[in-house]
Amino acid sequence: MVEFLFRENNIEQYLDDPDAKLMLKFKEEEDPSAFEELMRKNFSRIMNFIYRFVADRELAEDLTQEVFIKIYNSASNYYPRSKFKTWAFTIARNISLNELRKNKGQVVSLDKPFKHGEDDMSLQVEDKTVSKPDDEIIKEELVDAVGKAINELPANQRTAILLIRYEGFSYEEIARTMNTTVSAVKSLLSRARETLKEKLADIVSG
Amino acid sequence: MDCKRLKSQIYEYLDNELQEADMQQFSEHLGACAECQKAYEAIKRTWDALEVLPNVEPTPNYMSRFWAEVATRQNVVDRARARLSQMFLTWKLVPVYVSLCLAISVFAIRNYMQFEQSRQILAEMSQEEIEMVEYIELAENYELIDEIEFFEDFEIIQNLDDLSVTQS
Ligand SMILES: [Zn+2]
Repeated sequence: MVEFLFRENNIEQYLDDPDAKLMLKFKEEEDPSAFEELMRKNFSRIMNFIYRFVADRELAEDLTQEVFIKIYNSASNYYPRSKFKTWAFTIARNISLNELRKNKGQVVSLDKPFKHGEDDMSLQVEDKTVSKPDDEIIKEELVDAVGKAINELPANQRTAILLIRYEGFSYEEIARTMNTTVSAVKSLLSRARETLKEKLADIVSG
Repeated sequence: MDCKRLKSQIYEYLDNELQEADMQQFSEHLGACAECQKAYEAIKRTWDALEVLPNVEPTPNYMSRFWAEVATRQNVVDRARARLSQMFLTWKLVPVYVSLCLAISVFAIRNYMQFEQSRQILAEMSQEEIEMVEYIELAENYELIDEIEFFEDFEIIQNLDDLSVTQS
């Protein structure tokens, strides 16, 4: 706790974060190449997070663009009060949640596999001329099952799982991103894992 | 470390959240206990299975799309701002018209209804003027300018008042 307070008070602690430095460079020098570098480093990562959150590739790209427009618009008042990544993922999470609220019941269709857009795997499956080896079919079933299981998690559990599993965030970083406590994060994760274990039990066995 | 303790730490182990001392005890026990190994493998299998989700890539022109979108929105904001300040000027003039109408109404006295109407317009007007100032503040906030509807509302109000003014 003391350490926590100390860190809160140390306002310069995030100045070494390379992405925070890029933000400051963009703010102070109005150098678009600094912002572009930020995008190159983070766009794909945030897009994948959103993609796993909303299960729609095209939508994920549009929402990721929104995330960066928000970041761009915040540049003039920017000061690193957290790691760039926790800040950016907080924005990504809020934008995704808003989108789901806006399209309640429309965006996420739980029976459908993840939508990949043009390179949709399910489109290739329908091509009867291509015969597929068994293990490839098994893999597709696994992808669908995992996607569906993650999608069915409540939004907070899903956020926590995505951040720990695919982004390698620490509990502390997840707590910051979700504006909650480490113990709340642990509880979200443990409930999510119980559910995933049950839902994937058949397909992952052996 | 006993089996119960190990089993309670499997996720923290996988998440790399164990303290170094715990981590070491965990590995030692795991290496020596078949039962815990089984429990660990079962959890790890599900955890590893999540790996299968495919990664997506942004479209190759995402960067230029981004800058184009920034430019478009900046343009909207600039126009909206210009529009608002223009409207504000118009609005500043409206009370003058209303006062004028009011004065004429009072002067003419013949039509009480007309006087009442003008008085009402004036009352509404000042309230809307307050809103006007609020709109400008909102406009400064980039977020809210997307919700362009209020411009349409504004036009209606403006037209209504033009009508009232010419009526009285
Ligand atoms: Zn054991």
